[in-house]
Amino acid sequence: MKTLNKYSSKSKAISCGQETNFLLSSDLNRPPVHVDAEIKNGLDFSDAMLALREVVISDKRSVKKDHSKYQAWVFQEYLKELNKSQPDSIKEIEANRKKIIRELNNLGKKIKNNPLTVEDNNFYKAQRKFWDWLYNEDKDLWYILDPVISVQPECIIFEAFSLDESSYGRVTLPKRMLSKSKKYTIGTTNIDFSRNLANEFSRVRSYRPLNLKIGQNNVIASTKISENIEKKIDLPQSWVNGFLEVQTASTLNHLNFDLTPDFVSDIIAFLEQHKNNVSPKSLKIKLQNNKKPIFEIEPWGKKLEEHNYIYHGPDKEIRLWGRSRLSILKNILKKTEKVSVSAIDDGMPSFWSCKLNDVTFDLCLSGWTANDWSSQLKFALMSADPKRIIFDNECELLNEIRNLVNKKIKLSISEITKKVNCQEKDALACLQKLCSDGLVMYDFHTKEYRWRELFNSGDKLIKKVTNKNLVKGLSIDPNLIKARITNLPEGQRNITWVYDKKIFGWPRLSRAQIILDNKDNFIQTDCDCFDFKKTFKKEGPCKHLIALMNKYIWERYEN
Amino acid sequence: MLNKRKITILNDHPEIEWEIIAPHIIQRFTKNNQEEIIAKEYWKRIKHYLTLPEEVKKQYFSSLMNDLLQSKSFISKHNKKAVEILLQDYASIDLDLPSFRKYFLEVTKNKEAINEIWEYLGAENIRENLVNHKHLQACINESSTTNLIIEQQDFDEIEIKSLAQIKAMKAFIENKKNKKLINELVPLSLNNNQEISQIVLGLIEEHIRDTRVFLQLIESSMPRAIETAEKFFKKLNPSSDNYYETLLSLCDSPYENVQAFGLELIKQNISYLPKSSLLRNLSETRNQLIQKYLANEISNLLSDKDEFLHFEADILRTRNQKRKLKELIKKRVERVIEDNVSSNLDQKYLAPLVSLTLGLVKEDRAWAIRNLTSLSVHGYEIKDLAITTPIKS
Repeated sequence: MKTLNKYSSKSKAISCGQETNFLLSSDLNRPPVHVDAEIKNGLDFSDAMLALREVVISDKRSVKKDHSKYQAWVFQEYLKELNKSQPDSIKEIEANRKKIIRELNNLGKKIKNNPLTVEDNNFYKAQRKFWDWLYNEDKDLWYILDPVISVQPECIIFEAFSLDESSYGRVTLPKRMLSKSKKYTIGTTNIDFSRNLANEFSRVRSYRPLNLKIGQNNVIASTKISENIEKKIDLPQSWVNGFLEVQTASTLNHLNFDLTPDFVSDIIAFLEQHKNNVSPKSLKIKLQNNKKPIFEIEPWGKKLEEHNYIYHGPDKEIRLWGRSRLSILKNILKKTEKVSVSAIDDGMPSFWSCKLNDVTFDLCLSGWTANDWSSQLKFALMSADPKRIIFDNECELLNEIRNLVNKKIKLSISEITKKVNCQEKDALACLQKLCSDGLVMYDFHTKEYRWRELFNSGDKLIKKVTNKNLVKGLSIDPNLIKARITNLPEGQRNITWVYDKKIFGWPRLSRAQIILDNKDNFIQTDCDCFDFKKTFKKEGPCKHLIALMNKYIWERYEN
Repeated sequence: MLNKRKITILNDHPEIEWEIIAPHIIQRFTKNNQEEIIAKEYWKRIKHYLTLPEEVKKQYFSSLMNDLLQSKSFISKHNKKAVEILLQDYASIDLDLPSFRKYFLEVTKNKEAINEIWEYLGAENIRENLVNHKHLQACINESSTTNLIIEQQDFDEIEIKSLAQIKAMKAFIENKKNKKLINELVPLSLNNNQEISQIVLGLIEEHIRDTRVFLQLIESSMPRAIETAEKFFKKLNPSSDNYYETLLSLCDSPYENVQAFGLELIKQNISYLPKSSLLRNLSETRNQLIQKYLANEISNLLSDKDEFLHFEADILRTRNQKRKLKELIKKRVERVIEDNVSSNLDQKYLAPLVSLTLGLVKEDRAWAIRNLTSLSVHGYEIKDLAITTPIKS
């Protein structure tokens, strides 16, 4: 979706011997958002913001090698070999070709020596120089770098995704860290967060007060000429999907454990010292109740035991990929007391949280580097009533919850169910829908839903269904599905569907199974089909599971 | 819309168009909102009217310029077209200088139009254009009009490409200089045009004493600006009140060359500076050169033992980098431990040592264990450390 972000001026930092003022220009098309205050212990905040910048510029996608020169050489070699065995007519053609090439070369030389074109080399040099300069001067012309700021009643949240959209970073600055607050207007905005501004964060020191100003008029007052800087941002649907995915993943059942920052530093140092070119490239974590977590760095089999913290929870061994992304934390590790980790399962997202005194920095990593947060609605599909997310189904309850969260700004799920008098799973389905519309965010720290409008009022998110399994699954006729539902203890349900080759051409009887808790959250999913076994982590539930969910869960919501 | 048949008739009897249709076209074009295609057609006709023989223009289009260039809606909506009319040759032919000046001032009320004029002045063929356009030349030579154009530009991003622009800019600078408004010119010191930047740098050097301005210059990547700023900082009196803060802001700069320059000044003038507070403040730096200097300085310092604790702990906790610095810090920490082992050593020293015993570097591990053992022997409680000895009592 294309949206126009308009800033009253460039964001800037004004440093003088005594203090540093950060003037963050907010988007003019949004309702005004204001913060004008001094930050206590600005050093922690600046460190967290620098880490956020590391997230934003992080791109771990592998670059495809350019084989074109090699292929051209192979082609020439092939022609040489062909030459030996070709008939006379082909030899004639070849001779002509060579003649033309010679002529072309001569012409090329003439053009090259022509005084008008002699400057060409300098032009390309100058062009290269320009791009190099631009890269250093204004990197945001190379890529979009506009974190979302949510000014909330008790904190300010800065969020952004990495370039490859596989890492999500969040800085939470509590309101109690603000002093001499002159203005504080709740709302959401994008900030014009240029590289130079990020540079300024590295200038912050504890002996120099740091003033943070987010707003529109402030910046105009500080500049001589009123100017509007418009940035056309291709605010991608992927960002909203990404936010939704992070939020949904954060609601899943987690294994939580703490790590000493020095231990994480050791892992990063080890990874930096060893070339990462042999598979498996995972981080194997062995968790045993009442024991310190043990990390095994593959393929070297290097085992490291956590220095200090003991894990409490069920025994489990999980493997995480895309471990090089942990280097984002490198510079803030020495400032934090502990790193709190939440992991779900093998190849699933993990959450790494660092507290820099009162400022919190969260790094959420997707299952692996190439698996971005947002391309498919993987986790959202496993949430309550995803059909509501995908298709724009409005209902009274949805409107009621929307108005309630808008009015109260932040609410827990129990407060919402109490106020609108509905079941928790119905409220959850509506809240997921609001999250997918970019209106609400789930705060995984406080376990509350917050009002956070990602778009200008009036802009509407156009959703595209990109998940192939979803389309295939929904096309299966629900009447053909006959599943067995078994009630389990604590309100859990086991839905099993045995399907045979006559329906879908499978060579044998196969089984799709879902186990749900009392809130219709997924505890376990399984299917015998090839798609599920191969790509579940990557593409979410297979078409059989989608069909099963459609008949036994989603249709129930619709009715 | 005019179809082909109508155009043929009009071509045969153009006076019908000039007398009857043209006033409607002009009026509609300047006032109403048309579809883009219609506006395009109208614009073509209007441009055609401007190129008609002088006697025809006198008879039928005497008020055309006035209709266009006095219309605020036209200027604001089609600022590029307004500038085009104003700067084309026919404006010079059709108008006398006072009328041209009047329209020029009218058009330059619009900011976008001003930018268009500035762009026009930067064109490669501007010299020939000015020769043809006497009125424009006359206007450019007037300081009031050039000031009007230049004042509306963003000095941080203004591009100066032609001699005409340089000339106008020089006149503008001269004017500001006389009015002592040099602060406003500071961004021009970093301009792409060397001549202008040199002039402004000279003025800054002569008139400005604000360290923030010179900090901005030294942080630019322009050698001349850096040179000017360095000269300024070197000339500062080390015993002046703000000298200490100035050096700190140099060392805290995000740019390495500036940090190194700041450090150089510190080394030169250390006798004038409050050393202990300077070192304490420098301990927050991320620059390796400064950190090394600091480590060297504090290794010989017998100040409060925990004054640099954070700095030292930070260095000890870094992995895979700053090895030489780490060795320096290890020496200092070892000495602090030795000196204070019998008195109360800050417990915070223990955490980085314990962490090092579990680290990946063998030498660091051995060093940390040795020091922790010594502390443990002196009665410090160290969690998870057990001393076993083969000697039995």
